[in-house]
Amino acid sequence: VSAFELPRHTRSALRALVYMLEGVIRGLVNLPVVALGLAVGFVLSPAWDGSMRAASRLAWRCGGGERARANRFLHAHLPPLPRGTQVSRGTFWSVMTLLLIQLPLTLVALLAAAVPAGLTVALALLGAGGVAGSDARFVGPWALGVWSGLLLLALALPAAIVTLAALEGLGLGLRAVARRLLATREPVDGPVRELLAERLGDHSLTIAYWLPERGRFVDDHGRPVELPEPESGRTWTAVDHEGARVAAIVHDAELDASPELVTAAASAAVLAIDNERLKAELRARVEDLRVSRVRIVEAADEARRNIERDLHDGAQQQLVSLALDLRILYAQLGDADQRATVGRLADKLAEALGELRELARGIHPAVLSERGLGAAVEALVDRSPLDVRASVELDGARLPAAVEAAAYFVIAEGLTNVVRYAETRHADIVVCRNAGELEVVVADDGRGGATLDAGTGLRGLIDRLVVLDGRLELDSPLGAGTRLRARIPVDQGSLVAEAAGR
Amino acid sequence: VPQRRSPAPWWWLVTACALLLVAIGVALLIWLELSSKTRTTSYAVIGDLGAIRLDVGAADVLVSGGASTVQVQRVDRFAFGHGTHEDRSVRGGTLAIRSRCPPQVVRPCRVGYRIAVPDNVPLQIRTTSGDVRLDGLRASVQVSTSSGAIRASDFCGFMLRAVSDSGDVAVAADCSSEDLELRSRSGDVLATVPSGRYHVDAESDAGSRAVHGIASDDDAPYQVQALSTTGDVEVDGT
Repeated sequence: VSAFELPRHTRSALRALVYMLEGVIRGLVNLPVVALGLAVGFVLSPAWDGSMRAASRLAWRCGGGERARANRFLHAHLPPLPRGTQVSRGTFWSVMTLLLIQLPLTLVALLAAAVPAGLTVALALLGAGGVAGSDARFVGPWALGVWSGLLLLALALPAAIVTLAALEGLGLGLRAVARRLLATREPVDGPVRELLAERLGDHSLTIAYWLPERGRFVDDHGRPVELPEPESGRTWTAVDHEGARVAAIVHDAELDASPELVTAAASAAVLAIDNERLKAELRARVEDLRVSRVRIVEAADEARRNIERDLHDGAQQQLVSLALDLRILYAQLGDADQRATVGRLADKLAEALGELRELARGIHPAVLSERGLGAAVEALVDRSPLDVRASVELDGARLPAAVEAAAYFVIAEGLTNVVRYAETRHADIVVCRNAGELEVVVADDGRGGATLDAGTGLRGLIDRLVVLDGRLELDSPLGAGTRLRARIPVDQGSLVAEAAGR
Repeated sequence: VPQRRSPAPWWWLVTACALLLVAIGVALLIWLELSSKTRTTSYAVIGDLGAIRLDVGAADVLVSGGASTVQVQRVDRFAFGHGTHEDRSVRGGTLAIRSRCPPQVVRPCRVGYRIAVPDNVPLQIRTTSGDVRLDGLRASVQVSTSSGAIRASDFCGFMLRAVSDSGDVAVAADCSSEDLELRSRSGDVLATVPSGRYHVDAESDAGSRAVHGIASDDDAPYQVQALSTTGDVEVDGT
């Protein structure tokens, strides 16, 4: 008896019945709303532009309700209807067709179901009447009695089975109609995520790929992802292949599809998913490489900072105290020749000290690591022989060291180039955050005509910026000044932020 | 990719059940056709009769006047050998005919009566769903039906009282009757009488009401009453 799966078929028959009964009520609403609404919208459209749109939107919403109903009662697994703005004319009218034929179609279906249902009830009532002796009619050649009553009651059973099957069959038919008219797009091929999203009716579905070596899940881009917590409205279904974890499908917890269906859809696509997983693994490796490059740059900067500090604290301090000693000696000497000699030595020492300071600054300016980009730019402007207007809008916030260094060297190199080639005395510096990026601009009103290929200075800057996902642009028309612009992503999700996070 | 499976046992069961029911239905239908019979019974009632009373259930009745004796013809259509039950008696000058089809679920029998009656023999006819037609009667008649229609033509009796629950009532009188009472609850009522002065009582609660070609006078010797609850009412003079 269990092979007949009676409870399952009874359930789907009852669902179909509820769908049809509710469909009559819905149809009584949908039919006038759609037919009248669209007609009124069309008639009013010369007077009011929005009328047709408003009517269409209302009708479209009715279509969305039907899709939810078909999924709930008929397990149609229809994906959500696209938003009204993205709907093609064909799709729109196919949904409208369903709303318009819904009432007559449902009534016909109910009528068809009423035949076996009526037979079942009639047989049961006649049989019961015969057994109870309260009904003495003839059924064909036989008079109703206990035995013929029992026979009729026995016949009510197959009639009931046929009724269930009829309801279930009608449900399947209505489901086919709903699928035909409410299915919006059927991509035959496409990325595995889109296929699964379509099949399971959840457009927010994502796939997290399992990387066993790293013991974590990553997304399409190879970035680590966390699986949703329970009670978060999202849930995930594991995808395994040959006993090994391949991926997790992250989907809406309130998905219309049952977990079995998700698993079935996933196992149908498991090879494609595994393929995608290998790509994601590759991308994760690339991502790791990019991040490690940032760290190499950071390590190099750190080393330069240390050299600068050693120079500052060691050789520079010794030279300064030597200069002080010379000055004391100069004051104590009475002989003019000796004084002149010591004075020359002091001048040479001051020159060497200046060169040493300049060298240390070129390696890595202490003011940058100690007080940030704003102060470092001020120092650059002060030292520059040019008339520079600088605007640094960072609200005093510090940026990752690698970004600050890159921005600093862009400005320093830009100013150097202005001094060397631009033949002007004016330059502008702008540093600001813009759409998640740090933007650095060095502009002058000189003769222009600069190119990125000229010299190693800009080349080195480009290498430094590429490591940080940054870009360098040079706009330098002849005779119209030069504008050097660097942009470095710094916000959440950027490579820099990620490198800082690890 | 969904697997192609052979139909589940459930669908075999459903097919078997459907076939069983269809087979029983077809067998019953064949039996019904084979056992269907039409039987005509005719008899005459000799002697003077003071009244005729018919209670024929679902049977249709056609009564025509002007005969010299009462002639009854019954046409009986039935199946499975379960024909009509008819009781007839003449007691105290009253002919009483009572007939019923045996209660049958599959297809109840159908009975039709054609009765020819002499003039001036009062008639009382009662049916449930049978239609009643009166043709050329010259006698007082009372008809009541549940869902049957009542039609009278060339009527020229003293009194006609025709009451139907849901059937239409249509009476065409040849001469002015003393008392014409036609009532229906949900059917239409139509009376056609010779033109003249009548005490007219024609009303309908929900339907239309029309009186043409006769003069309404409360003191008139003849009375026409045509009432319906939801049907239309019309009284015409010729």
